[in-house]
Amino acid sequence: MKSVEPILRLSHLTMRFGGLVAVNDFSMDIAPGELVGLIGPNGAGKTTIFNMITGHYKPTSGKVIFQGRDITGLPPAKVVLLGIARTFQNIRLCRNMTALENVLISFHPHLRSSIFGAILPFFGYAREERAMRKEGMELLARVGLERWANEPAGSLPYGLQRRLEIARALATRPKLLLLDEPAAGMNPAEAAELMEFIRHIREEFDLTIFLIEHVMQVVMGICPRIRVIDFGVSIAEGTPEEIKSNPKVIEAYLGEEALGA
Amino acid sequence: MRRYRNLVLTLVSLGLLAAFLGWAEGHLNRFLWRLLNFGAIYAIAAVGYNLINGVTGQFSLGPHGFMLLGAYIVSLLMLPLPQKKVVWLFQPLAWPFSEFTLPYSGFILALLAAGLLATVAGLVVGIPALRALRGDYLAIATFGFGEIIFVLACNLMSLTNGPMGIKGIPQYTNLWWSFGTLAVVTYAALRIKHSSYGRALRAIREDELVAESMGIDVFKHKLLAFLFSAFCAGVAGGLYATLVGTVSPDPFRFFMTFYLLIIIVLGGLGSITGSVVTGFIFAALFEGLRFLDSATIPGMRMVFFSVLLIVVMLFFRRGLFGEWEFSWDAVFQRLGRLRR
Amino acid sequence: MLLQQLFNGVTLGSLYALIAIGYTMVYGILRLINFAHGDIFMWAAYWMFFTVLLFRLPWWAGAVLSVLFTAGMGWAIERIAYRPLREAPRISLLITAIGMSFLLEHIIIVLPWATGIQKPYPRPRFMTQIFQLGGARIQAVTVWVPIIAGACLIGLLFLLYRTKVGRGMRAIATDMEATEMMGADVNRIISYTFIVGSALAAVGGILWGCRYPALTYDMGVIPGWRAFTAAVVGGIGNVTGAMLGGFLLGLAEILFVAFLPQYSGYRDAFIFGILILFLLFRPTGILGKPLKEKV
Repeated sequence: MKSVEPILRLSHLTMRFGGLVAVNDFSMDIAPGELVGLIGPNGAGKTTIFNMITGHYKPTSGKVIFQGRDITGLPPAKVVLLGIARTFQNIRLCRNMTALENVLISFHPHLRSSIFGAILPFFGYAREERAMRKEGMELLARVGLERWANEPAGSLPYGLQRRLEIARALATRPKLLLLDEPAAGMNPAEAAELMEFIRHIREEFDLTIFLIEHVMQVVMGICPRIRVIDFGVSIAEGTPEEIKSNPKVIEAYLGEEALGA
Repeated sequence: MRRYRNLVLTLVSLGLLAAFLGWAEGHLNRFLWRLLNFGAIYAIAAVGYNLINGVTGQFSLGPHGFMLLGAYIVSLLMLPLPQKKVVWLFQPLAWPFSEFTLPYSGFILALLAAGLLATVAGLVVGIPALRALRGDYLAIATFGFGEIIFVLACNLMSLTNGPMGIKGIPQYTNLWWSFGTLAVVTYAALRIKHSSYGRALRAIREDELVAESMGIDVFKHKLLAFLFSAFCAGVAGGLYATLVGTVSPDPFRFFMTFYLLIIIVLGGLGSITGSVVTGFIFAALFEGLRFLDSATIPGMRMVFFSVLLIVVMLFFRRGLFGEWEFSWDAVFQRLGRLRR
Repeated sequence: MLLQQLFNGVTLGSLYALIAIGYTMVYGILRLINFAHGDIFMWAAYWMFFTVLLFRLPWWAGAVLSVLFTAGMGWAIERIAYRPLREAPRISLLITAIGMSFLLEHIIIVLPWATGIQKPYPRPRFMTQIFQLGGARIQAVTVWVPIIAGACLIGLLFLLYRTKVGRGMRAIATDMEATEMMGADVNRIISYTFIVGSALAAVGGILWGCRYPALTYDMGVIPGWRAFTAAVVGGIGNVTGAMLGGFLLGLAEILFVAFLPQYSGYRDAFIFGILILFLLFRPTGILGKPLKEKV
């Protein structure tokens, strides 16, 4: 079997906050097109790992290599432009802006016109704006949100807000999508819808998806490979069946919600 | 179809406004004429100020400093040479201002210089401050800048003539200049706000982290808005100097920023056209309430404005217009709803 | 001569410290820069004028009443103008504080008994006596101020570290939500903070009047900004830092004017320059700890 170059390589990542070690010597490879899950008890360090990938935290040691390029410590805005997008645990949308506007923001870094071009009438800005809006509406349609295009993002039902947040991330044209607890606060029916949605966008947009989740139904349901961490350290990796029956994993979750869908 | 309708409506309105200005220039009584000019000048500064404070959500407390810079540079460029010798008694005016003066035809250059000087000052303040500071600290730093400018204006005798100020500035400002400038900056501000840049600025206001996570260079955009506000304040200051005819550090102390705060808060933080309206309302109140000062005790006017600001912040935080912008489409929507 | 300046610096520093504590305490718990605090300080001096010169009360009575009234004003301002905005965006609170500052100044201007460019200030003999100390001729007030300020600081530290209320203040400064969830009456503690901060500013105002007996409506503005700078320099949110910053700034100011008299007009620019430099490069001040935002 020819081995494929990983799209994301995390190499011995460690994050120290003062005396506290949040993540300790975490390594992982993700191949292009994979859908991988990251689980662990609360406070295990999962979001910290995401933050190190996206540049919100600078790792104390270790490397983040994306598509063969060392991106460790790059600022978040640059990381996005290189092709990594993320969503947040607590949905962070611009609530007072419409759904379409939320998506259009992601297109802004690719805008060619300068601010003077935007002010003055004949320099082609109007054409760019029209193109952006068209692409934005198309994206909303592809994720099933075109009805909500001109509604304020804060007025969308919770499940759709989550979908909009993902759409906004998709608008940055990423190759790798990091989803931080996308099923948080959802009932089983909504979670099932989300699972379908994630499968759908992975195919539709040709993405690699790295997923943090607490809702076992979702992770076990769609991720062929799952990594488990506890207290900042990897403790297991494998298929959902392997993970469910792994004694170390069960022990880590003792006292937390039960494993198994 | 709608775009043509809007364009025609806008041109017709501008035409009506121009006709009114033409009449007013010759026939309006001087008190109202001054009032309209002041209103436009306040509105010019307020439009820029609202872009940084309201639309981008970055709290700057320094526009009075930028206005001061604009006022002085215009004065230095346009004061007639004989007047320059008379005013600068204690220390002669510095070179090169002592050697030349612009005639009326250079007025637009002087105003542009005012905007430019203010913009350069905006770079000096903005680059370190906007990169490192947020919220209250940014407010304090910009406030400090305004105070430093004031101190410099009081002490650099050879440039500013200190606290005594400059007299005899040719009074070139008229309704054409002030309203014309207002139209230009309002147009620019609205175009910015309704463009992709405006969306970026509003995203920064709502959630800086999110904006950054979508690839927006937050610092660059904050700086753009800040420089725009500096430019507007500088030009407003220049028009102020040539309206009043004298300039001193005194009118550009912190209470000038206080007035602008009232204007943008009353109009709605984030509403450009709202600030235009309240700019004039404020000028009217300001002049109209002079009677309050003479009928009761001098200073009541400021008591009124302070109370007004506090009351608006406590009970009407969105101001008159919230973030709503005037547009022909919105007007027709309203009318359509009424007809039903 | 240097000794004289040092004494003046220490006195001025103590006054700034008393005011700075109010800024730093309010910032510590509410993250608000109380623009109106400098004007509270001014009002205390005016209360002295009202009670002692208008109502002819003895100086001691006037001083006590002034502190009470000023503390009461601080309490009222928080209740009326700041508390309703506790959940609002921070900018709203700051704007309101600015409005309050202007209001306080202009009420003084329009008050019939206080109008006039400058009002005199009642100074008791024990403050104005002049005597020799190590070769310098100084007014008694120069010695009284550091003593009283020191006593206040000790009292404040006692309050913060040995009483329940003080513990509450420190808890809120660290984490308001957690403190609330543990059942503490956050509103009451915040009120106490404003009362204490205003009372200290009042003491500062009363002593200031003894040293610089000219009352004007804007006499609180510049000292207020100096004190705020002191709070930032020492470490905003940190009471000991406020004292330290106050002394440093008072000494710096006196020495600046003493050794660079030709630049004395630039004094305010110098102070604001220090403020901006600290905000940019060392925002947590000399004694502060760096902060980190959670993602």
